[in-house]
Amino acid sequence: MSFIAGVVALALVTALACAVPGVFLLLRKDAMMTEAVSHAVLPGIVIGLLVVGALDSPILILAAALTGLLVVLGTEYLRSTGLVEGDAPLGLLFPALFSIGIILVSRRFANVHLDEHVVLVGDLNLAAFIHLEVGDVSLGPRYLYVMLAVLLLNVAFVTRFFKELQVTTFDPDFAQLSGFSVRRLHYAFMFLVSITITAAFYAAGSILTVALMIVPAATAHLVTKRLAQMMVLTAAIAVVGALAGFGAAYALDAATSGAMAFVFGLGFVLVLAGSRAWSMLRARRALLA
Amino acid sequence: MIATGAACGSACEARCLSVGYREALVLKDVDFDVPAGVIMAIVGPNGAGKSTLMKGLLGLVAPTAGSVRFFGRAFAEVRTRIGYIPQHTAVDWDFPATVFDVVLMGTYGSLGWFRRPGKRERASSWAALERTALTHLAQRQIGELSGGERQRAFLARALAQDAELYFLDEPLQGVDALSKHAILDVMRDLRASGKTLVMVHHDPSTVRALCDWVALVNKGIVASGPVESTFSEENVRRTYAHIPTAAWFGTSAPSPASA
Amino acid sequence: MSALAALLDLLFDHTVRTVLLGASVVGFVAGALGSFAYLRRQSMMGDVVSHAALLGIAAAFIAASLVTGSGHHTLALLLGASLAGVLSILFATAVVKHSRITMDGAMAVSLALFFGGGLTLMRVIQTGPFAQRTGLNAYIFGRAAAITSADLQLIALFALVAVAFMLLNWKVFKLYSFDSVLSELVGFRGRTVEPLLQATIVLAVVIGLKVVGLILMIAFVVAPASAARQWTRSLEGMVLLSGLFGASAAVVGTLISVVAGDVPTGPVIVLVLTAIVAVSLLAAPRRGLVARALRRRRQRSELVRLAPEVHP
Repeated sequence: MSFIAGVVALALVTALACAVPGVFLLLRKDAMMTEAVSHAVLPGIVIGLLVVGALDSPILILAAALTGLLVVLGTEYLRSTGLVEGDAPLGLLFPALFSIGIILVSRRFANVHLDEHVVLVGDLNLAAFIHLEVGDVSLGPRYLYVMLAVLLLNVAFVTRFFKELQVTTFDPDFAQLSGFSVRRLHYAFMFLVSITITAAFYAAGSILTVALMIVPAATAHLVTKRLAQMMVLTAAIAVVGALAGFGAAYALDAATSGAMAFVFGLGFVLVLAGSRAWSMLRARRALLA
Repeated sequence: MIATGAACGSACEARCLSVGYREALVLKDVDFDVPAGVIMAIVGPNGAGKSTLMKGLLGLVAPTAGSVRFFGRAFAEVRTRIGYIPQHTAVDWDFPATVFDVVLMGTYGSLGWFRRPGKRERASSWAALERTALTHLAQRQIGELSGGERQRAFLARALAQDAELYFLDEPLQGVDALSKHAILDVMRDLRASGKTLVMVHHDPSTVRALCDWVALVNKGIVASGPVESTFSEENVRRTYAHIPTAAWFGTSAPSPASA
Repeated sequence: MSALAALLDLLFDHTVRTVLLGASVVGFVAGALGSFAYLRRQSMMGDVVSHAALLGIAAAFIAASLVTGSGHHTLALLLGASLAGVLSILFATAVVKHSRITMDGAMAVSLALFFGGGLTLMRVIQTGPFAQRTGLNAYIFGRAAAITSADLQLIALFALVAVAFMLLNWKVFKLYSFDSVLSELVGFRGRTVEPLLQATIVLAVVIGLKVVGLILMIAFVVAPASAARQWTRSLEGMVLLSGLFGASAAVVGTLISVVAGDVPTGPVIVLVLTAIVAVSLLAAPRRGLVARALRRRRQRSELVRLAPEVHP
């Protein structure tokens, strides 16, 4: 696999891996939780780097994902106390964890090789740099296989628990009475989200995962009326957006994830405008008929 | 022992139940009984704790103290025999699901984790849609339905579940006349086949016409029992302390709240 | 005694004094106006605004470069940031109004669009023929030590405008935050009040970017307000206390970071803020967690006394 093909494949797989759980995050109104988790995993990653030494280690990813789960649990606890209103619980915890991460990264504490820039937007080229080789044949970037594993994990979880995720998201009380443990499924799902965000960190950075996770699902939500439809369309949008974003980044020599986020955002605006125009047209036609 | 037929055993009984959110107790020390085979109304003024009582019985709000039994057993043992229809403000109407999808969810409880709905579940969902006269709307997105149709869709979901005891949280709230009749017909059918229905009801003037059992609630149970003996003017006045209640007792008088 | 002397020495150091002043002004204004975002239950909008500001900064830098030959006009950058911040809010609210996407999703989309655009423009600046582009990164991660006297003057100016706006519109903002429907009924249109209030909050957010960075700015909006809410019931008290919490956290955090040396200021301030919130949640009278636990224990024992025989 050539270097460029490797980068494209990595971008594609990362976008897909993020988009799949994004559907449920959006429908559960947890979109901004993604933003919180993606910042909160930083201290986990830094500590993991100090201990394990490699960004693509599965142990590091799992350990950092646990830090992400900390924000989920903490936010829920703060909400349950009723002391902090609206979405403020979300904004209380992740800056603290991110700050701990930044302080750890700062020169004083460690020689961790984690560039400020990588924290922001990741580094797709760097992530795609080390190729997996069998004999003389390159099988593509090694990190591609880490992301691929995460993608498969997400797809397996979402298809296996489709019915359960659907009913607990739509009507939690009813799901609880039907014998599905809403909390247990929620934590399992959020752990998976946290794993995905940590894994995507290397390729997309801490900030843009929110774009990769939420925007494709939000775009699909504008035009679909069944969950299965929405999932398929979300995946399709992720693929198209990743390719277009990569193309734009290549042309501008910019960070792929930044351009991807922007392209996803533009796509959302276009679909929103299109669907609005379409429904207005239909309403007018119905009025005339 | 399985209790089905009318007035044969108890469908639900609660002892010394206290329910609250955080530290504010909404209901204190409640005893509550539902005999099998009745339509029971839970009535009381706004903020009296009607919905909270229902949620406390079902364990949706964790009780602070007390015990609840269904058909003489713990909830977990008989959960597939208990149906629930939430207040219609409780769900996200923009959720990407068709009416059929929602009704099919009624069968999920009996499938448990992992198993997927198959032919049998689909068939019972279609039958439930038929009974609530929603077949023609099956492929609509749920948000496209009117208030009454939405309520019927949730009733259909409960039917697809094929339970024996149904809890309905304000099933007639904001519902058009046509849907109201459809819903009441189904409820009476269910009672005729030996099922039990408990509904939070917002309109005391129709209790006599619709129900055969009643619980009057205001921060606790004021009175509970058969409608004829319990739904007395005195009990109702005690429940609705400051509200003029006389009009609710003229059997032929038009009810202002049901219009 | 020598520690105190060292501290006094620090206070007379020009750079440290500039940073202290800048950080505490930002802390006060963001804290005070954060109260309104908090009461409107949309604190995370502060996060969207601070990220979106990057697009405005980058665009203003390019525009200023093209017009004057140098992009380093702090006033232009701050105005660009404010404009982008306001646009990001308008975008999110428009999405909610015109689609089935709820506010959290709309915020995420807005963040993606504006911040993604901002990062891409930053890259254009880095590869293009622009002079003096190195200072821009300070807005992302914050570089309190790099605050100049000129920056300080602008921070003070923006802060003054924001506070003046808040005081001038106090009655309207108060009513609108408390009950937007009533506010509409008595003639203060949401269409007018909402952008006005949001713009005021945006002013408070953009001046903090260089101090704590766009990623952590949200803490300045959320934390002081969350803490202040525990101690007071009136809006006046909340806004004042929130501002004081923000300012004192900024002072304490800056001093810690200067004394410790080589520790970034922004994150330390955030940790101080977090500590203030934790103490407030635990110790506040009546609604605090400690007071509540004590009350609950009393209540439970009373219930058990009421119904001792049912429990197996």
